[in-house]
Amino acid sequence: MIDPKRISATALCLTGAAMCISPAAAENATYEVDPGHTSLYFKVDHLGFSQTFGRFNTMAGSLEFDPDDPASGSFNLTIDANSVDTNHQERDDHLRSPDFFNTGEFPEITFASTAIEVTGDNTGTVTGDFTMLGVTQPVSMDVTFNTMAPYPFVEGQTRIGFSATGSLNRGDFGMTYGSDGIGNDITLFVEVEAFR
Amino acid sequence: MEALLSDPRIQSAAAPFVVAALLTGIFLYLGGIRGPVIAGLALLIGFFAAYWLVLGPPPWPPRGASHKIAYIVLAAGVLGFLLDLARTPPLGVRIVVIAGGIGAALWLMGARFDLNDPITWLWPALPIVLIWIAVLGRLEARGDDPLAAPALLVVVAVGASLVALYSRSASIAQLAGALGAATAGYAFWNWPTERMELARAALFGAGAAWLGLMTQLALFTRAEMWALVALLVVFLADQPAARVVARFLPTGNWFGRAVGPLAHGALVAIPAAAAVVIAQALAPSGSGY
Repeated sequence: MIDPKRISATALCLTGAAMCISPAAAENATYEVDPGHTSLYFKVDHLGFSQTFGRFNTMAGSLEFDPDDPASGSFNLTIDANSVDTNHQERDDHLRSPDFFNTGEFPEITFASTAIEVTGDNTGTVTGDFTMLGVTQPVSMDVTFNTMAPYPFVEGQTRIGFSATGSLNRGDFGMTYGSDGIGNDITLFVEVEAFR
Repeated sequence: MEALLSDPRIQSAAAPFVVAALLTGIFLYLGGIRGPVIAGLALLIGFFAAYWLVLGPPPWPPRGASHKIAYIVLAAGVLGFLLDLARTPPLGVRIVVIAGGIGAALWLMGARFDLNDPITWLWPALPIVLIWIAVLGRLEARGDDPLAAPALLVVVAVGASLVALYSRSASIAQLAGALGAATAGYAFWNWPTERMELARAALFGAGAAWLGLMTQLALFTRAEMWALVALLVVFLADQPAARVVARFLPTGNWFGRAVGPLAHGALVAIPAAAAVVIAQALAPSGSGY
C-alpha cells in the first residue's frame, strides 16, 4: 500500500519545496537500494593524458529517509570490490590485485553515513565512513534529491532517487601503488534508486 | 632524483643490489669476527630499501599480507641473527624453523581463513605450512655452501617476480625482483672466492620474504597455481644440479669456483623457467593499458 503521507511529501519535493520539509511530523522509512538502478562510477587521472572511468557492478545497501526531516536519515552501501569494471579485462585484473583494491583480502568496500546536512531545496551533504582496504576515512558527498514517487511498474512500491558526487584520496586508504602516474584523487559519481 | 627512485628498474633491481652489496662489504670488513653474521643484515636492508620505495613504510598494525610480509621478514632476520650470535645448536635451529614457519604462514593466511574454525582451514593451510618449514629447512641445510642457497633464492625470486607480473600483481613482482637483487648483492662477495659464511639472518630473512610473497600470490591473487608449484620444484632440482656441477666443474680451481655457481643457478632455473612459461601461457593476452 502506498502511504498517502509519502505521496504528499513527494509532491512537495517535486514542486521544489524546501527539501521536503513539512510541518507534519513523520518518521524514517527504510528503503532497499535497487542494484539494477544504482551505479557507482569513479574517475582517475591517467598519466595526465585523460581521465579513466570505472564502475562497480555489484552492490547492496539501504537507506533510512524521512522526507520531512532528511537530516535524520542514513545511508549505507556495500560494494563488491571484485566487480570493478573499467571496460578492460587486464586492467580490471590488475585493479583487483594487491596493488590496488586487493580484493583477495578486502572483498568489500563500504560506506555508512554519519551525518546529513540539508543545503538547499533538494540538495544536501552526506558525510560518512568510507571503508576500503581495511581503512576507514570520512568522505563527504554532495547529494541531490531527484524524486520520490510511486513506482509505475510495481504496485504499492515507492521509490526515491538521488544523485551524488564526492572525492577521496586513495593514498589515505593505503592504496599508494603507481601514484606517480595514476592520480591519487578519485572522483566518485553515485546514482541511487531505492524502494520500499 | 624522485623520478629516478620511482623507476621500477631502480626500485626492484639496482637499489636493492647496490644497497645490499655495499652494506655487505662494509659490515664484513668493519664487523671484525662478527662481520659475516652482521653482513647477513645487509640483504634485509637492501630488501627493505626496495620495499620502502615500492610500497612505503608498512603500517603497524599491518592491514594486509603486503604489510605482514615486512614484519615477518624483519622477525625472521632478527631471529636468524640471534641464532648465529648465540651459536645455537642444530636442534634449537630446527625448533625455531618449525615454530617460525608455522607462525608466519598462519599469520599470513589469517585474512583468507577463519582460524577459529579449524575444519575449514586446516587442510588447505597444511600444505602451505609444510612448504614454509621445508623451504626454510632446505635453506638452512644448504647454508654451508657459500653460493648454493643464494643461487636458489635468486632463481626462485626472479621466477616469482615474472609469475607475479603475468598475474597482474606488479608490487609483488617488484618485491620478488628486489629480493633476488638484494640476494645477489649479498652473495656477490662470495663469488668467485668465498669470503664469508652465510648468515642465518640472510637465509631466513630472504627465505621468509620469498615464502611470504608466494603465499600472497597463492591466496590473494589470480596467480596460476601450477606456475607456483613449478617454482617449488626448483628446490627439488637443487641436489641433482649440485651433483652435475660438482662432476663437471669441480671447485678446486678458479674456473670451477667462478662458473660452477652460475651453472648451478642455470640448472635449477629450468623449473623456474617452466613456471614462467606456464604463467605466460595461461595469462590473458597482453595489449598493455
